[in-house]
Amino acid sequence: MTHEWVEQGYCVAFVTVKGVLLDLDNMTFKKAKWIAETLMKKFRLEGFLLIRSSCRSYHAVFNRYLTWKKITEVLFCMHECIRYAVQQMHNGHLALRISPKNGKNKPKILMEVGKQDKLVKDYLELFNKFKKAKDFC
Amino acid sequence: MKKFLKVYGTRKRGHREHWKGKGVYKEVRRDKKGRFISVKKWSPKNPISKSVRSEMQPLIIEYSNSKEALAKVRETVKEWEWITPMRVKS
Repeated sequence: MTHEWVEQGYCVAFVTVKGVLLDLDNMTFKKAKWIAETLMKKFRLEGFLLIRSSCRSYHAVFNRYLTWKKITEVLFCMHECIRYAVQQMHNGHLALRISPKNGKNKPKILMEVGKQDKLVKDYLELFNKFKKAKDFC
Repeated sequence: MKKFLKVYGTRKRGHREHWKGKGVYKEVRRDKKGRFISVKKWSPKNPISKSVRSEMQPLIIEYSNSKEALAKVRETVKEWEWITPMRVKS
């Protein structure tokens, strides 16, 4: 049984098995940006979205669609991503929260880099819909 | 192309039951039609009170566009009673 540590109510998360999502906790914006840029260049991920989920926590969504094999390769190439990678591999998909949780606000988009026509588009479509919905504030 | 989102949290258990037999508490999982799936020993380490009976497995929702996603999430969320889990202090 998974424990998601949601203290009250429920959370909504964007789920995918077709591209790379990253949860970068306990680091500065500068480092989160560096990790996203490094991965984008190394694996030609076309573009990314950098989102702040809470204080010193960031999310990254990469544009390119990839196979599950390639996704594992990307996630396990940096030690900062391994904890998130192991948790998500256990679940069988990658997920990032798009609603408030435990008193934390909704994630906020900070940076848009490169192309946004594939996975980033899917994420933004859902993100913007839930952003406008008053019952998910 | 199929897209997915998940709704997660602690919710009251719907089609599961609590079964006491030979002095041991068991949790019996059944599907929506009442067919047996599995049995698990109830553990005192379980942070949820046995009288509450809850589950935390995420609900995966399939959608094709964002409008449908929002409608499906609203519908799914209403079906369940979302509760605050009790934690065991270590």
